[in-house]
Amino acid sequence: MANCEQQLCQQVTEAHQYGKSLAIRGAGSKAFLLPRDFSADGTLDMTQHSGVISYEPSELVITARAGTPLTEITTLLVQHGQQLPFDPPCYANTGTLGGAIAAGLVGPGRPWRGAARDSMLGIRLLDGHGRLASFGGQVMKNVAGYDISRLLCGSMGSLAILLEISLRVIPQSRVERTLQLARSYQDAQTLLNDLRVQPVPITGACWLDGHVQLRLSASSEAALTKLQQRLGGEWLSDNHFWTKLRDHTLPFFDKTDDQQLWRLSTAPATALPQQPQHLLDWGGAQHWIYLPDKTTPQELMQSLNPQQYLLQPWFNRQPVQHDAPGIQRLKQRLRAVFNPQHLLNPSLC
Amino acid sequence: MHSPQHSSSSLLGLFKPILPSASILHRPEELAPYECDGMMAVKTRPLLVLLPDSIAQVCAIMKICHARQIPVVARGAGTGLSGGAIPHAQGIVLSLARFNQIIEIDTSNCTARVQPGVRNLAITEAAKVHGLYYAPDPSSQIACSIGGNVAENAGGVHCLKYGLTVNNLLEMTFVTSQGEIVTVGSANLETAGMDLLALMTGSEGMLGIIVEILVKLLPQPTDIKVILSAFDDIEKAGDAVAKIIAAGIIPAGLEMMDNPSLVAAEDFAHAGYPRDAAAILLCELDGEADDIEADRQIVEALLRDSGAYDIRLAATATERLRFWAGRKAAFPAIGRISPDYLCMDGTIPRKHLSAVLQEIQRLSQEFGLAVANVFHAGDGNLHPLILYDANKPGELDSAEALGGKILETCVNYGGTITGEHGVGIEKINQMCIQFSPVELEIFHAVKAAFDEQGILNPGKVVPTLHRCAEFGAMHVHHGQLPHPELDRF
Repeated sequence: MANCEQQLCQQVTEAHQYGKSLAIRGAGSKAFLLPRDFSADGTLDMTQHSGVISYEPSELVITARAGTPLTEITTLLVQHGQQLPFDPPCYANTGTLGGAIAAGLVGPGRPWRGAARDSMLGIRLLDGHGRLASFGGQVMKNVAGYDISRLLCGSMGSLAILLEISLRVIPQSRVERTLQLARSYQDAQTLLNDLRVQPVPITGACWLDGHVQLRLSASSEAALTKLQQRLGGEWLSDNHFWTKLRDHTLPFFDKTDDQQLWRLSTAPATALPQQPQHLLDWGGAQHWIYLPDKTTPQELMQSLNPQQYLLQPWFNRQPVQHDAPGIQRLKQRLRAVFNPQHLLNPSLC
Repeated sequence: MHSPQHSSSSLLGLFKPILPSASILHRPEELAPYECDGMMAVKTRPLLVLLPDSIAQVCAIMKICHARQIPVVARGAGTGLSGGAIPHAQGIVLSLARFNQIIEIDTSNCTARVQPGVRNLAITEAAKVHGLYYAPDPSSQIACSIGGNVAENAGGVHCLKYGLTVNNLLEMTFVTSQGEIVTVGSANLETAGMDLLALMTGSEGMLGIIVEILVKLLPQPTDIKVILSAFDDIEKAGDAVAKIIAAGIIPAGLEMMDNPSLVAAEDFAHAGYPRDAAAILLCELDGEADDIEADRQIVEALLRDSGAYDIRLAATATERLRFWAGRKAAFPAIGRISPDYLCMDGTIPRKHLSAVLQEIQRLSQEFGLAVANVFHAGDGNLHPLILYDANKPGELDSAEALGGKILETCVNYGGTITGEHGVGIEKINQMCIQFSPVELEIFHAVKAAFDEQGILNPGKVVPTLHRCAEFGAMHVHHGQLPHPELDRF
């Protein structure tokens, strides 16, 4: 619970001086996503730079230091009947706010409640030159200057160190329930496609093991009862499924050594053939698929338009390069602005 | 940018080989309509206006401009309020007006692929038959183009619940300053690494020329209800807003108007507003009928609790649209009671509303100019409208000075100089107050990463440090005087 800005600045200045690179590290809860060859000369420990700086429920804004544990933030928000819209994963029940923004991972509500960037209001950063700068702010609408705050979402520390983050929060729904419907993969896709164009209060839609789970969030019981009468299915007694799905604690995510887990993001109505071990999330827009180790999903990729999907191997594998040459050049030039010598997270630059 | 001198005739010779003559405007009477945008206080005549109709033409134009260092100002419908599309006297205006096609409404993925010149409202009109709509609705939506909305990251009265333009975009294709085609974002919900789509959104024509956009469509809500409430004190209205949000309700829209605004709007649009109110609140609830009813009961109780003396639920769709018509016509309504007005666009933390309004009132008296306030109350975005008469010597200068002071007040209360209209040329001096020299330096470097020669919309959005020194009002960090190397004026 301290402001370590000075120490962090000093570490970066020294690293700069001696030409030593730094790995930015929060709680390490997502270290398994880093490529195997990830390395740096030193480590910048962010966990001490921690604490909620301001939170006013009626303003719908929270500002916290990057090293603040996610659980500290979510606990505080729940006490005031609020939540982070993008519901970031909390692997092994740990993780920091800075790590959540830098990795840009989002929970099951993604299609309806947005990504990390959609909640982003402002940041304070420390870049590879040792410069301190603030962008955005603590207000809902702010278009002054380029949107550096959102640019950094998902940047994996390749541009700058996040010091403070301001996010928009939302109220928790008055009524939230999980409806389970027995459906084949094919029928599940049809159901999800039908529901997508209807004004129904869905905030989660997942298919696994012959069942569709729908998370429904509303202001009244009556609205949900009517929906259940129309769709059928049965109410689950609690909503724990969604936390388990978000944090990968469902049995589906217990991988064996000879398997590789792949995450495939597509446009939601993309008809992807069913795989032997397959979990469909985000109302059809995110597939989790196991393949035998050391194979790539060539067949799946061939059935898709290259512009229209993102394929990511889970667990310490080299990322699949998706960027067109023009994008690669722009990203290089932006890294040159903030992190010119690849002082920060060199393996991810 | 130290651009070489160009003339209309030399540029005409450069572009004739790549564009049909009907796509090049060069006669004075043809150029006149392009001299300004929605911020009409500043006018500049460009050398040429080009009206390409294909991406290949845009690339060819940019290659020529890049090779010859010709300034390029991209223009949509020209409705922007911050002067972002005001031409450069030594450059061309690149109008995207002919990019007016809706390429595809994808009803299974709920998206629309559109060209930048398509009007905002036209997207919703095309999606309507499929039960879908495009959520961001700036007041100018009948005229403004989606390309301009993306370039400015436009808001609207429904962004409290549905977000700004940036929250409703999936993918964008733009042409770089060198004439290269780049696509950022994707139809899927995830892109790798840093968020270039977000950086491009709201970049005000400084980083690239937007040529194609994929937007998200939403299912039309089953039901919509609007509650109009009147207060004898603007502070009570502000209190009601805080209570509604704290109760866990996010209305689709939550708008406030002060007495001068609501009277002007009532006289103009006959919306049924109570003319004696110090402030009115419009609260829109949308969704399932049962949900709306549950929220309505809570909202009405909170309004009463905050001291609303009149609470009316629009009984019919016609009455609901009439309630909104007044609000959406607020700007033209003010235009009817004052020869000219300047529209400000600050955002503040809502809790400071009453303090900021008092300060605006004090400034209004100090400058001797009336101010009417229209307020996106839910998200803290304030539009003070400064009434003046451009024919009275010095009044425009006074109005601009007053506007600058209002924006500084917003920054002092932890807010920002622009919530949705953009910086353009209008608020460029106030950027010196909101950002430190280091932050401005980073903005310049980001610009250079996309446009090394500075040919895209030169002189807009980010002030030079010299300009900040001349302006004389600088961001002072920890009491250190910024950029001491510069002369003071």
